[in-house]
Amino acid sequence: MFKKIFYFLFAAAIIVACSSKDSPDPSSTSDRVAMLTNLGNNVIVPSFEAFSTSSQSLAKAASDYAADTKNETKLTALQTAWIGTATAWKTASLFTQGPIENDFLSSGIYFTTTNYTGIEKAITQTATTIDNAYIESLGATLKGIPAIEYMLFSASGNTAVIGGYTGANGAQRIAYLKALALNLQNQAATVATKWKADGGNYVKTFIAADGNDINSSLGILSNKMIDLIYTIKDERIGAPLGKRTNGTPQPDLVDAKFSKASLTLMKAELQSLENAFTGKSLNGSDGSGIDDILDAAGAKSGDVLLSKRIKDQFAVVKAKLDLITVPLGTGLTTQQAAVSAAYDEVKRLQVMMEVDMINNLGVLLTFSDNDGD
Amino acid sequence: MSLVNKTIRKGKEFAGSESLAFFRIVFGLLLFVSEVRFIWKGWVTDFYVTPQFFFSFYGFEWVRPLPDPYMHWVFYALVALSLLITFGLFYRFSIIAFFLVFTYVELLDKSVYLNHYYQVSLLALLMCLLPMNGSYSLDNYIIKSSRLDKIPYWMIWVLRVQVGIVYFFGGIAKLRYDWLFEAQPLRIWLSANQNFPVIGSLLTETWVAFSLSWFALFFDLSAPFFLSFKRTRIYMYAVIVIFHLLTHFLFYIGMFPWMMIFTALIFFPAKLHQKVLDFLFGRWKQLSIAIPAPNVSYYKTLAFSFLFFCFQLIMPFRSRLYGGNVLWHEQGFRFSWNIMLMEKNASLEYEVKVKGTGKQFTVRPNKYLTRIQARQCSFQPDMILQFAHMLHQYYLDSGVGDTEIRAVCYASVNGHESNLLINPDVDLTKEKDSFAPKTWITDWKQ
Repeated sequence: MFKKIFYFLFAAAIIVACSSKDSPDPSSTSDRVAMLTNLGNNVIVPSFEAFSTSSQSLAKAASDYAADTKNETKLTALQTAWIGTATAWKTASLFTQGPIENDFLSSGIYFTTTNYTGIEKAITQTATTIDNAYIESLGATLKGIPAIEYMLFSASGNTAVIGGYTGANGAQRIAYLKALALNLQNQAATVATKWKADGGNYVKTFIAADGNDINSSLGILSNKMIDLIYTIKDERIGAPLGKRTNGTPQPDLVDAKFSKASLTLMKAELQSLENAFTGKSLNGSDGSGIDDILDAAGAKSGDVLLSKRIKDQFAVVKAKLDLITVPLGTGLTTQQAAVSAAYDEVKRLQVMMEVDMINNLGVLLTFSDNDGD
Repeated sequence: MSLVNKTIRKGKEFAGSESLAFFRIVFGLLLFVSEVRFIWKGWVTDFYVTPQFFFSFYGFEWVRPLPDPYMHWVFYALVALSLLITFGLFYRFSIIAFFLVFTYVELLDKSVYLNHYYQVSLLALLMCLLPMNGSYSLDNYIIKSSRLDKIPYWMIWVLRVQVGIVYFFGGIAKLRYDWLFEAQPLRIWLSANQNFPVIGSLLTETWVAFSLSWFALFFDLSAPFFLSFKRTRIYMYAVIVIFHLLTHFLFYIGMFPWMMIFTALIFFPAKLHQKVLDFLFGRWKQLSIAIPAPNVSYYKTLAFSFLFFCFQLIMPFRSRLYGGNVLWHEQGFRFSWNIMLMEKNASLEYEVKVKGTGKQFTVRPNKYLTRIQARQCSFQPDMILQFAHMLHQYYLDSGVGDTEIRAVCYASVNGHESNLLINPDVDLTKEKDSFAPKTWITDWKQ
């Protein structure tokens, strides 16, 4: 008799097991599919392609300079190429979901801490040949875009930089620089290939995950957008401004302190957020983005469209950053009011994205059951 | 009056004990599946082992989680108890133990509060007092006195009322501006499901959101009544099944739809329960022919049930005492059948000032809380206060010293523009939780 209860239990177990995988019909095209398709094909893939291309230019400029280390013009060209590559990376750095995270690629590209003494040691104390394979064997603090920056810029000016490559261990130093640039070029190519349709085709996976749960593309992307806006607020501006140190500025904490490109790179990070939000591709054509999803849902902020409110805020933030006319490290003390104002506007943008945008998107940012919280 | 008299007379009549057995088996199986699923998904670790901080309920701060691995054992015990309940073995012990253990778990952390867990606790409490093992139970083989052919009819009504309450008060809670005139939060949630097969494109339509909002309102308010009348029962039940299946596929609400679909079966007549059980297990021969003396032994249960339901009638309305928008201040929000009523999001940071040194810094709760805790804490004022106190204690313990802690919290409800939720000038370490109105919550501005 009680056998039947067991059948019940069994059937119930099967129902539970099966009900967890309802795959939506991929043929239905909705606003969200349109947005993911546009973001994937016209924003993300081109961003990584641009990063890959600029890293090739960087490697080229590095070998040009290596052939003529005393030539300051070539060094300047190399420095410009570095800023181009770093900017291209920041413009793509929002899109770490997929290949970059699955294969732990970002640590080799732009790791947050750089070990300067470690780099010096790697240059001077190694008996092995310095090439790409050697760079591969090194930890994340010794390579990538920040390591290259350290090797290209000096507070004492370009003469000091050139001195490093022409003095003792100059040959090893230039070999290290070249190998770093080559390694970065490889990493960038790998990421781009993994995303592209004729390569790893992650873009297809990205478009197919069109649900609204925490593991959907939109779910992950919106979480990353919130993380990045916090990073800009707290790490790029807040910490240097002294938000953690009782208002005492910490110029050492700015991003890219050697090249003094902090503001340029921060604007590139904001650009990646804006591109994801508006669906604007690198060449400026405006496709389907999160703004269109919000508009279709009738999302408003007061009397105006929420999407307009957020786009306007991006413009306000950019305008505030443009008012800082010196490198951020200097501006922290000489234009403190302007930096502070920029911080406040970024905070406003953060609230709009984390609260208003998410509220109207209805994406689920946790994984458990809910019945309306 | 005649209706009341009729009801009382009816309540004093006897019904077959199969209805209670049927409900016991349904409840046991539902909870078995629910607990196995909980363990399967790794939630025991995620919700009760990983967190460093727990948001206990006001007045229940003494309820603490057990250290690893004992929380897992607690859940294994719940699985075992749900099976004992299903089989009706040592029923009285099993149901009391289940009620206590289940309620213990639910009291551990507000972040995972769900209305249907509350319903499970309430049903289990009622079931502690009812002879649900009168038939179709293993107890009937062991303990002869457990055999019951008939039970007073009101016992079935106790269960029906508790099931009906969820619908009715769920409906009452929907009588609000957002739900009726903005179709929120359904508009947001349905749009989020635009990739749903076949009907996906319909779900972005405003009229669909409005129709479903109003339909759900009338559905909730009327369900218990239509289920009670013989002529409408079967149709209402069909609607219930369709409605809950739809919510199951559209929203991530776990076991809730299944609980409602199966527990609502108690509204069907005892004859049907008997037929189903007969079909499944054959005629139950373990019944005593003795009929218990009318009500005598059940007066206490009856009295308790009466008080219980008086309490149930008041609880959902307590939020009205605070005025304002309950979705905003959330005072009296829980334990009130506020089901699927809001999409709420917030951004929460704490401004900490060390009194000794004057040092100031900003803290995001994400650093200390699990993802689900951080999310729930971000928009629920009592949790925001609790975490401020936890931080205060943390800084005392870690040697940072005494601190002032203020919350910068912007929240948005149901698509409305974000606003400050907590007065950012109030030092939360000086505020205490209580049932008194929380003056440091800002007023709802729309």
